[in-house]
Amino acid sequence: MQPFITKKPEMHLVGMSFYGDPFSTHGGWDGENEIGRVWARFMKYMGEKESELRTIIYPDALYEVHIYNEETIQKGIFEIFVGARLESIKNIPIELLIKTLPASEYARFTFEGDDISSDWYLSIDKWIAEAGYQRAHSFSFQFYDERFKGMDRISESILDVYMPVKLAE
Amino acid sequence: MNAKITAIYSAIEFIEKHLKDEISVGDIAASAGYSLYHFIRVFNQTVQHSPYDYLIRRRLSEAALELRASDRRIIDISMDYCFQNHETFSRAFKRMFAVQPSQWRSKKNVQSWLLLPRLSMEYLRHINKKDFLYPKPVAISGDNYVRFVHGGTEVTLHLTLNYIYHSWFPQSEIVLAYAIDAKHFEVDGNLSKMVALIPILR
Repeated sequence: MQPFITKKPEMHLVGMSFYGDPFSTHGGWDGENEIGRVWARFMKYMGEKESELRTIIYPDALYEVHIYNEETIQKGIFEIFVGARLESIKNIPIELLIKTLPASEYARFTFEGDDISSDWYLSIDKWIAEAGYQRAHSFSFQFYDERFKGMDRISESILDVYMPVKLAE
Repeated sequence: MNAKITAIYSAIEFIEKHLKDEISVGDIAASAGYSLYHFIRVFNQTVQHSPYDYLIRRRLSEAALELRASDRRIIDISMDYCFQNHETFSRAFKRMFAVQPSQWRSKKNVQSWLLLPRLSMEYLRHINKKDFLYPKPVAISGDNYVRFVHGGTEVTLHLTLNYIYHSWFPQSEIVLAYAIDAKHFEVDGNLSKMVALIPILR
């Protein structure tokens, strides 16, 4: 598993987020877990407001950002943000949040098929340690574009995971 | 699936060994050989509790048993199980058992089904069988029920009941009209399926 090291400028995303145990099965009866629920909430909103959002976002790709905080290691609590790249900061509806990802060097890992649902965090952290890098920021993101065919077609799908990295001190 | 259950069971053993030690969910994930993120996903799917919820419920359950079995001061018991102070302990305790620790200690009868027992490998295998069905709210001619299905014979019915009592029920917002037990399960069609339909108050 060889990642591609790439630099990215600061980037603004607009979307919705969830804070808690992302895989809690007890958040409600609809949707399998909280990540599924926040995606469903965002996609429904996008569908309903398509014409208004057209001037605000780049619709070509979607992002799922995992944001770590002091409760992450302790309690298994993450912030999960899903959204799209922002074209203009004007006219953002109240339902949506903006996240600014800082300029950073990233290691981009590409996963195909069943590897998408594997424990890729483990392989990424292993690679980072062995390559003499370390995580540079308290987040990472997944990049969903036309190569991702949907959760029901994982075997035909491709997903990029971006991990901010810097050389180990 | 078996490898998953084995890994999760090793995490449960790790938790049991460290109920009285300061451990993080990150430590538990490492003990199972998973990344934190993947571990949380697999643990939730396999145990039907989040790892942190399971850890706290197990600590509270052991503390609750000790409250009734000994005369030790409440604060000492709570400190043993890594609760930082009396207030944190009482709040968590009340959330799980609906009474204060002192009331739990002095009451004649307590709702012991709210205790979460240490989960066994047999139990994990049972609730992870392909045909294991989670309780489902259903509406029948305007009335609301929860439908419980036990796939299997009476020999393993206690495992399904354990799940309903100690795991599903305490985590749900639902209040059943009456407590459920083995006698509510009726054989449904073929002999390998038993069903209970219990009315909901709210």
